[in-house]
Amino acid sequence: MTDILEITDLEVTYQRSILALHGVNLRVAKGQITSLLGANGAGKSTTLRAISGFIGLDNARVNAGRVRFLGEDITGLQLPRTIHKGIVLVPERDKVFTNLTVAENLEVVATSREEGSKWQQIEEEIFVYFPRLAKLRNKPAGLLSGGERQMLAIGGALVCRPQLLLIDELSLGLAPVIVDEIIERLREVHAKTELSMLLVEQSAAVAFALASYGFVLENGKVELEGATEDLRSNQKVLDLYLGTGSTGRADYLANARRRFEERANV
Amino acid sequence: MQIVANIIVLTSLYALVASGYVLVYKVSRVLNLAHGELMILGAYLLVATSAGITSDPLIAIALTAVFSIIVGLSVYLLLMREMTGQPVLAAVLTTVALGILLRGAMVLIWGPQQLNVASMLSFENASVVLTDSIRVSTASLWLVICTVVVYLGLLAFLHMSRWGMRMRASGQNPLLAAQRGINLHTVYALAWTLSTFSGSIAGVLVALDSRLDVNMAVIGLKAFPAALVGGLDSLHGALIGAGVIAVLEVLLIHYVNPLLSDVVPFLVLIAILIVRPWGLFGTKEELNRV
Ligand SMILES: Nc1ncnc2c1ncn2[C@@H]1O[C@H](COP(=O)(O)OP(=O)(O)OP(=O)(O)O)[C@@H](O)[C@H]1O
Ligand SMILES: [Mg+2]
Repeated sequence: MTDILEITDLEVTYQRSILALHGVNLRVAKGQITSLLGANGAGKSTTLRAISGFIGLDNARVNAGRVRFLGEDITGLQLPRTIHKGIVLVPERDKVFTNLTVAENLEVVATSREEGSKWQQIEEEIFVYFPRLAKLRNKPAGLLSGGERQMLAIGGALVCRPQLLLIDELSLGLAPVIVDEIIERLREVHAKTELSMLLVEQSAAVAFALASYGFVLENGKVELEGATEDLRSNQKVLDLYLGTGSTGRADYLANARRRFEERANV
Repeated sequence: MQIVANIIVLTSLYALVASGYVLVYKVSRVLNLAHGELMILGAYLLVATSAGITSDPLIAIALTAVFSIIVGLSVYLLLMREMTGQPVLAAVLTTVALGILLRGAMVLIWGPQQLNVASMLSFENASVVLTDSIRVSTASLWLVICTVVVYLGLLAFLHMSRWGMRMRASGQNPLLAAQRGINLHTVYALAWTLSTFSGSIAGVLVALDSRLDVNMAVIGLKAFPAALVGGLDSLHGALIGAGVIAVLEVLLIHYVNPLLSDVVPFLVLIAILIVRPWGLFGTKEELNRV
């Protein structure tokens, strides 16, 4: 199977000094959904941003390592070039334009390829995937619920015609029923389009429900990787991300506190 | 009744100028404090065009419109583009510097004396008798018409065209706009161009209605409260803000003292900032930003 994305030894610093990733290695197989699990501050969002292009505001830099997309070296490539290559990110926060209506949120994206009447068609496609959005068509996105926002954000990203969809925190802050619905919709999208996805999650349950392969990130490094079935039976993953093992959880919390204190002391 | 006509004319002036502030602020969160100078530059461009290129008033005005578009685009590409991604304060200070530079340059080129633009263009600014008791100058009438056209045009553009949508989107969430492939530089350049264009129209019409000198840039400052009263990011708001300020200004001039004219907008500004810091129509969260 070919990899659509391949990251080797990626190192990223913020503000020239804070090392957020030290040597991340991961791959996304073409046509597959891959998950990236990790606790708060592990570097998941940083990884996604390194792939989709940092914004000037981040003051972040790739120090070492390579990002290859479809065999081409795209390390350090900036927006909007990454979008033109077909890499589209659904960010963790602020994922819709709150002052625009649902329909406008879908129309506003820039793709030079499909102007004009094709638009209507693409929009309708999104409404087929997310029928809930069709009813909200003329509502300002600022009035949507968290789940509806997530659907709209995914819809907006799909309108950009991605080859690789990056989703940061699919389930964070959403009610379980909504998460189930979104998972179902994403499965449909995937079944129909075979779109490659990299899914960042803190909940292993969600990641395993969608992905066929997964990586576990800890303190800016990949600690563990494997097929979903293997990860599912891995004791460490169970402890940390499914909240089953009590000792694991306690260890993890102690670790997290230590890391937090270290950071505060810097 | 004449007083109503005066209010409408002054409202149009402030609204037209204020639309320039709103456009740039709405899209890039930058207060363009050089807007008054850019507006007057529009009038001087008309002077230059009519003296140097053509004496036909209509062609001169059309050429001025084209030049003002070039000016707006250049201001963004040569200056403000560098400020993208910098703290907003840096950008605002840059516009202050730009205003001072433009003012100096205009005095150097065209001199400090008042110019009679209307006579240069042989434009006869006759007063138009609307009814027995109401008369307005031809230039004022054009001002009202242009303001209506500009506002309708801008509203249609912002809400019905894809680029207009992108402008609104970029103002609300520039990061997401970039992540969705919207070229922020194009959007910002568009905002500066439209803003300078509408400002120049105001500058030209004001100059045709009275005389032209560099100090008229102060009209830009007086229209600023109109934009702010309306909330800075709302065109409807700017229109209402302009109305509020024009009403108070005309009434106070008429019934109290003409010398109040220059301070009225700022008194209103302070009053509004105390009561509703985010303006009458602005988004409430603007509070943190202004
Ligand atoms: N803009 C920034 N400036 C400085 N440091 C940052 C910045 N963004 C992230 N970091 C640091 O980089 C590390 C990784 O952050 P990142 O946001 O990638 O984690 P994450 O895994 O996405 O966490 P979360 O689950 O909380 O979203 C953290 O230690 C964080 O403090
Ligand atoms: Mg994150």
